[in-house]
Amino acid sequence: MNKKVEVHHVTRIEGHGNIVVNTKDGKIEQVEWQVPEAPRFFEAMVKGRSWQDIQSIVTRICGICSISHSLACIKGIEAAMGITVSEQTEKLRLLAHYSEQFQSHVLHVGYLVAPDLLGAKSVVPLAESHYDVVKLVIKLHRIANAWSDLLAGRTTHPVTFKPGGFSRIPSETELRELRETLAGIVPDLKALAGVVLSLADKLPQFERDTEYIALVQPGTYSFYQGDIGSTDLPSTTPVDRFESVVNEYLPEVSTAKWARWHRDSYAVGALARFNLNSAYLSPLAQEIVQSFGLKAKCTNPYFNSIAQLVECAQLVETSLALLEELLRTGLKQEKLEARPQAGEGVGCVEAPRGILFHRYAFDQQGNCLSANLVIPTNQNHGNIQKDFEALVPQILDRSEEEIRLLLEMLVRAYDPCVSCSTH
Amino acid sequence: MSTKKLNQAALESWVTSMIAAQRVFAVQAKEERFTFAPLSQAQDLRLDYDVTILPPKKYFLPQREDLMEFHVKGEYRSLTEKEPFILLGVHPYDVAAIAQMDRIFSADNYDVHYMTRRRNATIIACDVQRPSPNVFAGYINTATVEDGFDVLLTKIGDSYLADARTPKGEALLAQAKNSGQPTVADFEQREQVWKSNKGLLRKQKLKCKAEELPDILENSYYDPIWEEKSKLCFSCGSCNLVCPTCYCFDVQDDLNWDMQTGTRTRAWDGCLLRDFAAVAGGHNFRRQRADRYRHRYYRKGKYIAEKLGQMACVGCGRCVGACVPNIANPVDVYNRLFMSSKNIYVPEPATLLKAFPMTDKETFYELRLDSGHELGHEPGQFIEVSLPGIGEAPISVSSSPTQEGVFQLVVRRVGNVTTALGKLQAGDKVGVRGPFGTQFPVHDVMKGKDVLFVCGGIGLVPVRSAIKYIMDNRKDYGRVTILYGMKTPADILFADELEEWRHVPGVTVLETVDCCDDTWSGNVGVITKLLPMVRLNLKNTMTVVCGPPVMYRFVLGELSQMGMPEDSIYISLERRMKCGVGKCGHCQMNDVYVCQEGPVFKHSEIKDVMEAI
Amino acid sequence: MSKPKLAIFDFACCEGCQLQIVNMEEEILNLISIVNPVQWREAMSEESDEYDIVLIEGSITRPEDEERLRRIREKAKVLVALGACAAGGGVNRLKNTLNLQEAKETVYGTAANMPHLNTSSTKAVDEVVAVDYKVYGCPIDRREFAYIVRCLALGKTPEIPGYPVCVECKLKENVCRYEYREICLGPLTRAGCGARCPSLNTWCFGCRGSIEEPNIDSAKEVVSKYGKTLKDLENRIALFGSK
Repeated sequence: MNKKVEVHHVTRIEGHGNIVVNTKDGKIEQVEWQVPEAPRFFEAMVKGRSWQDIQSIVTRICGICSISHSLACIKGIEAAMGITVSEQTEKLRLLAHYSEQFQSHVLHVGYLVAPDLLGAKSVVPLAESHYDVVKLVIKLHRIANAWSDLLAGRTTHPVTFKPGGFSRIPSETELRELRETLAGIVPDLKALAGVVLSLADKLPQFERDTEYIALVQPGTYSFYQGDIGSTDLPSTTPVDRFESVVNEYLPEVSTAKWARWHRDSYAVGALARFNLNSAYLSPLAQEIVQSFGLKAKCTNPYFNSIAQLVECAQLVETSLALLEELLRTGLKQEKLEARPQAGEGVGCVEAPRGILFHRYAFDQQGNCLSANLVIPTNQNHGNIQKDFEALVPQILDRSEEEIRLLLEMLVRAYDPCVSCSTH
Repeated sequence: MSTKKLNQAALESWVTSMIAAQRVFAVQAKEERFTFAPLSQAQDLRLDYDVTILPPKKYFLPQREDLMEFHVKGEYRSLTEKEPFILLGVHPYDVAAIAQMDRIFSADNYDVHYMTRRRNATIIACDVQRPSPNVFAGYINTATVEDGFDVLLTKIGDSYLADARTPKGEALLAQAKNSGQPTVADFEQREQVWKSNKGLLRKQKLKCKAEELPDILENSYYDPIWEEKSKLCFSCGSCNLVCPTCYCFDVQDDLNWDMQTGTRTRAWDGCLLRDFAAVAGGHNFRRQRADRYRHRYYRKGKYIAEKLGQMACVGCGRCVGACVPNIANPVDVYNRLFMSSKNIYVPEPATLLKAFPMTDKETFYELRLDSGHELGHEPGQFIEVSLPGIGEAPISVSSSPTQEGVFQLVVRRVGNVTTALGKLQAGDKVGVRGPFGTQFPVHDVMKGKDVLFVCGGIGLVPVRSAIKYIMDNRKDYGRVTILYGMKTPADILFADELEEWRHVPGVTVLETVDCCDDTWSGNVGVITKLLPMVRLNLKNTMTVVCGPPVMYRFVLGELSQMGMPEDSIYISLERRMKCGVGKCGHCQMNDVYVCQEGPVFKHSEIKDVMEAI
Repeated sequence: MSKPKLAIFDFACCEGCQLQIVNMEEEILNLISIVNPVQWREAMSEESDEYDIVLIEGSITRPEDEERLRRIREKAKVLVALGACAAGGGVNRLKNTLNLQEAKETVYGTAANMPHLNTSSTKAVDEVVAVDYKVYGCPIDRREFAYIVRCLALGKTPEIPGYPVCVECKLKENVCRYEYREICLGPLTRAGCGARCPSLNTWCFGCRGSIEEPNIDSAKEVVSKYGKTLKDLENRIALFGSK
């Protein structure tokens, strides 16, 4: 019997990706994850541009993780030019960074994954059938966005981040209000975790061991600082040697580059961070981990969404502590005094979808000489393909419709940012 | 109505009580500038401000306001805001602007939105303590105000006089505790502040009188200035939006999500904006930038001026500062139109107020234009003085523009006109054309720098204008050094002023004479001898050289030897001049008209002009 | 009256403008009360070829995308260019300042000549098909978007500012960025954002595109007065391809 699954442009993901499966007489002929997204050439577009304008350009790589791109960019510029920033700036940036992780995770779990678990095609019918869940998701998402707005000046494509600091910082009153709001949503987070837990049996059971890569920094569940850690390696690698980790290559089925290190592929993202850093989770995050019976190293890619849920709790709890510190020391208006200088540097952060690298070189006037940007989804594409290859033989007996859904759900589990990966 | 004297603490506690009672909008710092904003604590009040970015009109005619709610079936419910508030720290020119807006919004068609807010407001005005560099309210009669407010604050020493002028103001002032009773001396001091503010709020020099503008504009519709200035116009409307007397608005509807109910909103608009006069179908009744640019000046200076009997401009100068390409200065435009409304060859009558000899050759004159206009000159400029039947002669203006109402000349009797002038006395009339020519750069490159003046003989006369200007704005400049050479001690000009300057901190004055008798105990010899006697920071010094032609070669040579950059040296040249307006040709040196491109030149500009020195 | 059917399609972009629709939060429920979303790949798995209003996000950078866009246009009653990339080419227009072959080599190195990487210059949607309305901004302003959708549902042409950002900046009473000697594109850029960037103490870089008749000559004079070069100005203008 022959089976054919062709999904042109998988829905409910960022960007354009195709699934192609062909079997003939029970034998697999073709299993492919394809990336037909239009390439945008950001690394060429920033060449010759001023250090003051780079961030405005590269944040446009991604509409969902623009704060991560901005921060990676600014860290890269600062590393290249030897610009140092105050502790206050680092804390406010981190707070902004957390807001985006939280927003992105809520968006993914609530709007994109939940319909699969609730047997719907999108959140639109859920607004009727599961109004309370939809209201809850919208509320958390709204709070996340207001949080980003406050720190970054805009929900998408931040405005206030500058090499050396911020163009505008929030007031202490605004931070106090944010603290109130975040403290107030802890019950909502628990409720959301409860809803997902009640649907956990809808998550497919599929295991495939792979290499997981994420930022690691002893003692913290790091999103922002540290070295590159791998589940295949006891030692860590400094971020400025990221090229030796990603080993990018371009397959014929993709306009985005793919990556591999110790194996044919590796994975980044919430599950990778969980697998490397779970020892440092906050109390509520640990509670959620336990409720799902989750253990590192988890090798079921569908559980990336659960790891995101865990991280939501982690982000809110860590942010509350961060706000406490900021309010204790009080905020200072700091002057932006960065000056351009020749040099080369790497900026690295964990974007919601995984580790993100930006490398830049500048001349004396601060004009960009070169850029190399490696996006989390670049690093996940190969792993999606390898998961396909492992999963399809296990589900060949299912209907085309079921195969299609399981593969779509697998793609969605990675929360891919496809247009981002063809930056 | 009563007046109270409040020291800083009493003022603050009074303001604190206001904040507790109602909404207070007051002047506060925003970065390096000022705005009216909700006041939450008295310490944030900044009555020492120069000017706010936006005028307080925003509290009567908000940037955006909902006029009504409606239902698509055709039901309307008008919205008006009724909560009272206090507007604290309004400068007199803004009080005048509010009074004008009141007339516009109350007359003919009563605007209930504006007027309700207006009636709910208590205005606490405050006399200006620090004039903005762009202000010209002194010319519009809005530097001080008699009415249009509830309480007026005037700073007297470390305290304020608070003067209630309405029952509302009286009731508010009654809340002020720990106030003192003002003395006669306090009231006199306040009079002094008012008198001096009328002069101080004249930073931009308007040459004509405000009342004359409708007539000047009457004949200026096709003046080339509109095209010329508007070439740089961004059509951004900033000049409109910051104006305290601009009130045009746009009205738009938006529906709510129910698609049945909605809101009609008005928002500030501006006649400089490209589509302001465009109609559905695309036709634009003021299509060109120049059309729109001109419209603003006509509206301010003619249309509204004729309708209300007062200009729609209070001289706050906000538009001057808000225009990025710097083309929105009404004083600039009106002065140009005023000048071109006149026949350039016909002198204006002026009266000698003072005339007395300074030496056996030079006479000092103080004059006033009979029209009452300011001469409007800058340091270094000259005028043509005219005696009918005898002729005209170019004469440098010797007084500083900071001196209001009059100007001064020093004339050496050498030719027909100057000899005839020498016979005139106080009360006699002369004709005046000008001012003409370039100026010593006291407003820009000299600011913040040390200044060296090297003057020979009557070269001191034009330079005195710059020296006096600098003395009146002393803190804007560094060290001042005045080197003055003359033939004999008897030739000295302005001896008393030189003596006075010598005692100003940071000022050095050195004189030298060519020959003398035993009664002179000072320096003897040519002026270049004085240069080694002063310590100069060459990098930070701007130099002015003015004297007889022979002096230039030596002084410039010496300065160049010392390493003074040619860009830092300004010289004033003398030539024969008949017209003063770049036409007659007598003053030309090579291709340069001294009367237009000079008489003040940067040394580097003319060192290669062969006929110059 | 049945609700108009709404479809959303995306081309080369970051999909941040679609995200702004999600970011309407509670109001998205209002939105779906007046329009019926029938196709929206980023958020929905439902699909339909029948639609009244089409929102196009992204700029057009490949021949096959032009084809796809033309097919969409044929079926759409009203076509709206959503966001800077669709309305004007957006940041993607920077690509047009590059040598394409060199750009490909910069990004893909030795793989640059693989046929599936073929690409052409960046086009705004109206350079390929007729556009009825444009929603400006990078990203779009969700309040303005909501207003435009209500106008379309009502059959009214939305009134979008034709004046520059300076207007809204003055209304916000910001200190002008030129006082800080920054090259601010506010005087050249279409308003509608509420002067967001200057209100956050930084220059406007023109994400809503150029006003109809920008006075570039004046901008040149101004930047030279503030000690900047013409190239500084041109570089900033290039970011969002303003005229």
